[in-house]
Amino acid sequence: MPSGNIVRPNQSLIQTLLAFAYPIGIARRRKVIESTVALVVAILASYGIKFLAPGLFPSGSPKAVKAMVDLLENFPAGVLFGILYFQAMGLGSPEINTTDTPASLLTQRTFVLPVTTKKLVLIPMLMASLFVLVPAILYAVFAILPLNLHVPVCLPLLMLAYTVCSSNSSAWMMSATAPFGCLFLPIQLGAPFAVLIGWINGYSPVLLSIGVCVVLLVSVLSALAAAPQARISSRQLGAKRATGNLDKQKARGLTRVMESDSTPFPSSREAQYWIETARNIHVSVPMVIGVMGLIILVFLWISSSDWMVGIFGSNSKVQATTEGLGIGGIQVGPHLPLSLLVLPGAAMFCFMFAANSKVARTITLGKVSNEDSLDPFIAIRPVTSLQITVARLKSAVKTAVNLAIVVTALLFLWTLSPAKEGLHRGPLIELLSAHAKFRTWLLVFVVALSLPFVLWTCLAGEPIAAVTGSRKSRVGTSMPIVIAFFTVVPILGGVIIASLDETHQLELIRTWLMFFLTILVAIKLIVAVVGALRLRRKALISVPELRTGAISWIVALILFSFVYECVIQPDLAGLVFISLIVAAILPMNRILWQVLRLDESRHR
Amino acid sequence: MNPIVDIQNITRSFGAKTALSNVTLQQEKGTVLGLVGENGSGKTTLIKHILGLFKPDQGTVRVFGMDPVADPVSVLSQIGYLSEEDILPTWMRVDQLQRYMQGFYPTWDQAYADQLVKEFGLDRYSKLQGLSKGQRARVGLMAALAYRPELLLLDEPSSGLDPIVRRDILGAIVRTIADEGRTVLFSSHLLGEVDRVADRIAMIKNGEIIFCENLDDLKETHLALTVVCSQPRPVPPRFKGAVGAEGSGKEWSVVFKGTVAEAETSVAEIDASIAEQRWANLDEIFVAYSRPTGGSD
Repeated sequence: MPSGNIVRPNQSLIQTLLAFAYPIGIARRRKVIESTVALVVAILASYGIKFLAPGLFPSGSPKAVKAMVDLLENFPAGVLFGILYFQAMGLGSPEINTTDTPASLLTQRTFVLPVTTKKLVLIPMLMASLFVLVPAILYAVFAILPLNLHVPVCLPLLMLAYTVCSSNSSAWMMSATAPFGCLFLPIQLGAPFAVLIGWINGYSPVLLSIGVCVVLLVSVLSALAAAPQARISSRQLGAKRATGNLDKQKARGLTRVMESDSTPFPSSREAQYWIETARNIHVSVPMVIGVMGLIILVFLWISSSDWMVGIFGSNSKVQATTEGLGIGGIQVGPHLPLSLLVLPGAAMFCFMFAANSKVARTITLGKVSNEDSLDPFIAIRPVTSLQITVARLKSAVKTAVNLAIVVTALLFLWTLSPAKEGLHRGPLIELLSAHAKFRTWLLVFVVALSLPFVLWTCLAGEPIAAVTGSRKSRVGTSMPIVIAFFTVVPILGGVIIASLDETHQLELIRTWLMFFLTILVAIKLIVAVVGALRLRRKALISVPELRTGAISWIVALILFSFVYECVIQPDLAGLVFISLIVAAILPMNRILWQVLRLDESRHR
Repeated sequence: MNPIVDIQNITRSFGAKTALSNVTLQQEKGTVLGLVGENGSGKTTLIKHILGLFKPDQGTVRVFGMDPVADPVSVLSQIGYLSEEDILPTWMRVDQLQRYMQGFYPTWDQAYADQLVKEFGLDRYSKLQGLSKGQRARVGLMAALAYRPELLLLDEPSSGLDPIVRRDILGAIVRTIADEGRTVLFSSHLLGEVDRVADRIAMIKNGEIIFCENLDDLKETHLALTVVCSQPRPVPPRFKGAVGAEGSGKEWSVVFKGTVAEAETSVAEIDASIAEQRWANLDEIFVAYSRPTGGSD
């Protein structure tokens, strides 16, 4: 067990929340040094760019260069990203026993970044640069594209780039990009929120549609990225059992966790830590998200304050540039899309934690998302596999409802933030404060409520199963199909769409989405029927239960469609309705098959 | 009377390894059955079949007359199980575990649970993670007992419990349960423990039941002989009824199954004599069956 400066788990709730807010609250001194270096690098770079940019890039520079410089100048976002990065890094690094930190609570990842003294300086600098330079470069690229792409689209694409990075399966890259994975997940999860909030802000449905494609693509690539990581994890477990593999693991720098943790992996101590600080996940998870969200909102308000503008320069240049890019709207600058991504992403992240943690596994009688395993303590209790599945779902529902409330409240708070001189918040506030107030808030809540469930079935590691209905079709055998389906098609579609005018773009996107969703619905319906028949054959569900479930599903679908009818544009009703069927059928399939798999896992 | 546990000819393999081979075992209500065997002999696998956690490749398992796989709720609601593994949710406190368990078992007896906590010297507000392995085993035992199950399955309880609890408390509990007409099946490789509390004993070896008898009958049918051969023997003497032998040269300690008269006849057939004879103890019987010498010469 590592000793020294690790703050042990028996800290107070406030300490824990602080730890979530800022990583060094729980970290070693080394982490403090790393974080400090990153912040210093970020601030120095900001000032450097601020002073050097006019000379290096005169007013006649290309649009893309100007966009990049403007983004680089706006460094508060970079600092925010840096902090988040180091939070992720601190959570994923071997200096902290992963079972003792919120890392395992949030990510359940045990990947390690082999840290040497040299890397203490180099990695923070590299990462701080990456997190500012990559968005800046991508921004610049989008600035010169013929497509009128907006923030909700380019940010998911940015995250896509990170995913591709983290999908590298080499050992070094795996360990080196592990923190990316930690950070990537909340952002990936936040991407759909960004798309939808962008829609609320008045972006065109074309962009929304492209964003949906991108999100799907990101999810699949994320699954591809997660696959080798999962294999590493299982190797770790194997190595714990067979010490002969230790040398191989050491060569990969993966042994620290194993050596430092004498308990079986995954350890229940991670859950114990959580339960010590907040006993009820249904309350604590939204609470933590709320605090995180508030911190981000405060940061945003501060970043747009006069004194911050004085330090970092006015946002007006960025505003001008981004408006030139077609971004317009709300408080411009990179911190807006970042906040849109990070805030709901964090919510989803915590949702995933709630769905996967050991605590949740016990409270909800098992994992929510990883349905194949059953806690041995639960396996011997007098409950049916169906009851276990329903209990898990109930827990997920509770958490998601609370999350939706918190996210909605945070967005409401956002609208209350005082407008600063030279900045305006644009369509969101206008929309919310005008005549469509009720409809908008209803939409916000429904989106916040429904997305966790949609994503629950489409999260990293799960999208393939979500499509095929079976976990057996793993990444690997189906990889070419998956890549073709989720990568080539959207990209080709995007190219074709880009060549059309906006009216035709909209029509084509609609047609394409309808086709895609119809195929998806057909596949999932077949899977659902097969699952239901197998359930019945195994006597895991009675005929009345089956009938009640089917009726409930249809009623829920109709109710949801009514809600959406109230808030969406009439010409999108068909598309949204079929989307709803997809959204509703995926969890239903998941439940059906979860019962079956649980039963198979329980009675081997 | 229908047996509480009725296992008929079950076979179960894991890959190429046959964990259980044609196992048949029955246990009547109100009895205490000790399941003994070496590590890896199949004790835990057999218990997991009773719990419905494993499905047999062949044969049938019935517990309370029901299939534990097809009807887990009815079966598991009447079974108390103490695993040799530490499966308790260690992030809970003892009192939280009690409340958690109440949700599963309507028959949960909180007064009895509190009494057990007191007897076991536990603190209700202790976190399980902070308890020692032995203390956690006590908590596990409390959790397995407090809803007064009809069938108590103890898988290697001695591996976690300290000698005092093992000897005094576990023994008393097991006897009390049996006296109340409930049934206990426990696996162990501590023969003294089995000798102390079991009515019947079943020995399992390489996935096969070697014997399943009343403890008293078993002891009364096995003799510990000191056999003196006329010539030094490089290998243990083999004769009819001999279960196992240890020694060297002319003098061998043999565990014999049968009567004294049968022993004398068998020994005479290999040109040897009995220097000493007594009833074999459980330890000797277990070792003899674990390392048999074979049948008649």
